[in-house]
Parts: sequence; C-alpha cells; structure tokens
Amino acid sequence: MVSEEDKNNYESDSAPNKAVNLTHQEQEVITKAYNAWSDTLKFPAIGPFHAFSRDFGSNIMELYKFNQSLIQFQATLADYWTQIEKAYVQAMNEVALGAPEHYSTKQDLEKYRKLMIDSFEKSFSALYSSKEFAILQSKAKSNELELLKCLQDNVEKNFTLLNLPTRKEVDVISEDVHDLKRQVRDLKKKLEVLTIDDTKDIPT
Amino acid sequence: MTQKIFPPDNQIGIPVGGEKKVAAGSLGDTVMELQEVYRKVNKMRSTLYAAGDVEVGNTPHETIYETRIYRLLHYMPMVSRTARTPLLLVYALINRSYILDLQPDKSWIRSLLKQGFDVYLIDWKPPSPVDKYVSFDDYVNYYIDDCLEIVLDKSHTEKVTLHGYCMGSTMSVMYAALHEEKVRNLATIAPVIDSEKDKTVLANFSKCMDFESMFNSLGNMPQEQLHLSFSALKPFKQGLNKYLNLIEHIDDEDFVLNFLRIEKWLYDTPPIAGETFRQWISDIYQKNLLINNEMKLGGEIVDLSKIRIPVLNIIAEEDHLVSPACSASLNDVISSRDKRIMRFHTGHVGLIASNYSQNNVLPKVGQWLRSRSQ
Repeated sequence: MVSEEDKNNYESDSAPNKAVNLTHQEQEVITKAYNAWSDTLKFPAIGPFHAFSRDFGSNIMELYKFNQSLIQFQATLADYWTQIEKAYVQAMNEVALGAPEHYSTKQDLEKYRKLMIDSFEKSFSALYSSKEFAILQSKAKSNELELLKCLQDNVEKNFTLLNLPTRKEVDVISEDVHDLKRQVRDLKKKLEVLTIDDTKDIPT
Repeated sequence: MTQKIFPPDNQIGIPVGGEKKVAAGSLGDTVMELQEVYRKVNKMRSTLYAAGDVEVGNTPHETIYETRIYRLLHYMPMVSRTARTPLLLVYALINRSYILDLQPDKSWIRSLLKQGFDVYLIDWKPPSPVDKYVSFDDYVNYYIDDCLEIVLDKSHTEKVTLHGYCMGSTMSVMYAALHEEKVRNLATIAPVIDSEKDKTVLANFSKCMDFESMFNSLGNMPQEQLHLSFSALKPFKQGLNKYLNLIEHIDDEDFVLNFLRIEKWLYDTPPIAGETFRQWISDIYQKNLLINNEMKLGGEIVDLSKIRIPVLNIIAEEDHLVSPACSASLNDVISSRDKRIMRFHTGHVGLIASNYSQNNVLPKVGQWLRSRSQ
C-alpha cells in the first residue's frame, strides 16, 4: 500500500522527467534562444569571448589532459622522493654507526665530517648510478615536459587572438632559415671552386 | 678587483673585534670559535657573490673571425719561431673555453705557447632559440671547417694539428674522419667515443633520457637542465665538501681566487643547440653509433677507420665525466700506425687546469706534438 507521503515523494522525484518531456513548441523556443545567444557571442566586439566559447570543448580536453599529466607527475615524484629518502636513510645509518662517541677534540669533529661526506657520497653515487633511478628521473622529466607542453599548447592557441606568430610558426621559420643558410654556404663553396677552375683555364 | 672579491670584514656585517667581549674559559673559547666560523661563513657568502667578477682567459689573443655561433681566437706567440704546423683547439659545447686559459700558472694554452706552438681556439658562443636546428653536421662540416680554412690561410700551411677537449675532442675525431686531408695530427683529451664503456653517472642519465620531449618542448637544452645533471656528479665530495674547504681557507687569497675561477667556469654553462643535443644523446650515448662507424653527418658516414694520421689520446684515469675506457676505444678503431694513449692519474678538469697538468701532462703532450709539427 502506498502512503500519501510516498506519493508526494514519488511526484517530487519524477519532476525531472517532466522537464525532459518538453513539447515541440518548448523545444523550439529553447533552440531559438540558444541560437540567438550563440549569434550574439559572435559579434566582433565580443570576438575573443566567442573564440573562447568556440574552443570550449577543446579547452576542457586540454584541462583534462593537464590534470592527468599533473597526477602522473605527482605519482612519479612520489617514487623519486622515496628513492632519495632511502639513500638518505642509508647514509644516515652509516653515519650513526661510525660516528665517534665523544666530540672532545677537533680531530673528532673532522672525523665526523669525513664520515658524513663519505657516507652520503657513497649512498647517493650508488643511487645516481643505478638504472632504476635514471629511468625514474627521465620519467619525472618527461612528465614535467608533458605539463609544460599542455601549457604551451594552451598559450599558443590564444596567441592567434593577439595576431602573434605561434611558437610552431617561428619554429618552421627557424628551420627554413637554417636550411637556407646551409644552402647559401654550399653554393658559395661551389662558386669558389668554379672561380678557381676558371682562373686555371686562363692562358698566361 | 681584489677589493670587490675580498671586501673588508666590516663591510659584510661581521662584528670587528667582537671576540674581546667574550669571557675567558672553555665556554668562552667555544663562543669565540663560533664567532670565527660566523665570520668565515659570511666572508664566504660575499666572496661567492663576486665569483662572476674574477678574471679568466688573460693570455693575449686577437679575435680573427667572429659569427653568431663562434669566435676564432689567435693567441700571440710567446717564442720567436713557432712550430710550422699551427694548432687548432676545438673546445666543447659544455661550459666555456676559458678553462683552457684559467690563470697564467694553470693555463693549457699558455703552456703550449711557451713550448713554441702557434695556437688558435674555437670559442663557441651560446646558441639562441633560433639555433635549435644547428646540428653536429653544422659544427663539424661547416664551423670547424670554416675555422680550419681561415687558420690554413693565415698560417700559409696545408695542414693543422687538431686538438680537442671533451665534446670538442669527439667533434675533432668526426672532422678528422671526414676531412683527413687537412689534418696533420689529432690530439684528443677525454673524447666520448664508445658510450657502452662509459659507466659514469652522466652516461647513466643520458642513456635513459627522453630527448625527443626535450627537443620538442624546450628547443635548446637549457643550462638549468645541464646543472641538474652535473650536480649529481660527486654530489657531496664536490658539491658540499668544497664549500667546507673554502670556509677553512677563506683568508688564503690564492686559494680563494683559484676556487672562484673554477666555480665561475662550473656555473658558466650555456645552453646546447637542440638538434646537436638530440644527436649527442641519441646517436652517441643511446645508439653508440660513433664507435660502430654508423654515425652520419650531412648524409656521410663517419668512418673512424679512415683516420690514418698520428693520433694522441690523452686520458684522465679518475675522470668522472667520461670513463677512461670510453675514450681509449678510439685507438682500437682508427687505422693510424702512429697512435698513442697517455694516461694520467687525475680528473677531467685536473687534466687541463691544475699544477699537476702543468708539471706532468703538458710537457709530455708538448713533446709528442713538437716532434710531429715541424
């Protein structure tokens, strides 16, 4: 048996369904209103805003990618610091075991200093020489660069709004200029050889 | 200059004569010692700030050619009659070339001049972001070749002695393999040749490096990244202990000036052109193409077996940047009959800029070069 209260709850829960079941007329009004706003945003005076709204989807995707990269970076950094801490603890253990019992003379302090430097050097050099750490460091750097790339892509997109050349465009020009310089140099060399050959042919 | 590097104690916030206020006795002694440490640490800090002002590269020279990428320097001869074959020094793309002329009594270049050589140096300039696509092909086949032509022209000779340091040695080897007709002798210092035998921390990092991401996102290899790699080399013995030593010797002017010169050089790290760095890591460290005669420059294979000229390979047994075995492999693959390895018990920098180098390395190197430069 359904109580009066349950009935009310049911009606309240089904309210969104009501909203979905729009009449054709209602849908038409909403579409028109949406289009009217979209057209308004395309006015040149609100140009940059239009550009932003046009790119909204891709901006969301970039944000998503950025967050993913950030999470990955944090995970790699956690592993990275774990290894650093391990090396640190290992060195500290060695220092604790070898440290002099009393520090009554300057030699005791000197001995402690030498022990500390040697222990840390040994522990961290072993860490830095390990393949595992090198891979981790490379991964951390790649993650960082991935983050940088997300930011660069985002900034570059907005460069078009300011009518400025993007990094990619400058890059293409740099490559072209580099190739041209090489070609000019090669041509100069060939010309020098030709000039020398011509001189040889002149009868004396 | 000295005033700037060694300011008086009262100008760096150190209480002058403060120790007189401390009572005598063991506690008083400890406080006095602490006060002395405080003075030295403060002096060290202000001294390090002035590291950039310390003078280096004083040996007289003239710039005979200059582009946006490099300067070609000619050093004034120090003897009336120099050896017939000029010597062209090819410096590395890492840090600056003044390590070869750090101070008069520890200058590699000055010693060669005194031994009667006509010395030229390629001083690479820091690449700008638009030089991202400058490659080893440019450095070897264009820039070194251009410099060499200028040297030949100026000295009215047909061949030079090519003398490289570190990465500059590797480039000199590449050049000699491709243009042997212009080179009389090849003298290398700690070249990177066979990366499989390189067991250093730098090689370990390089073999795992994601160079493509770096090239795409950063363009040129930034100096911060290079510092990061270098700071992992002997991090405590060199990274920390040297500063503790500096505090101890802070009142010794000669020690401090020597320290500052090296320190200035260590942190004077220009970026490396993106494409060059990509080849350095990918082709040399990761694929080990050079020793296998598979490296290509400008479409041409760098075949080390084509090297037939006299070769001197100078190696530091305690080199922590390039393993001795990695450099020594050069002599196994070249076809030269006159080839020699000289090994010295010192490090990568000690090999070229130290008292040891002046007394033990340079006389032997000079002797080898002199007999082949007339």
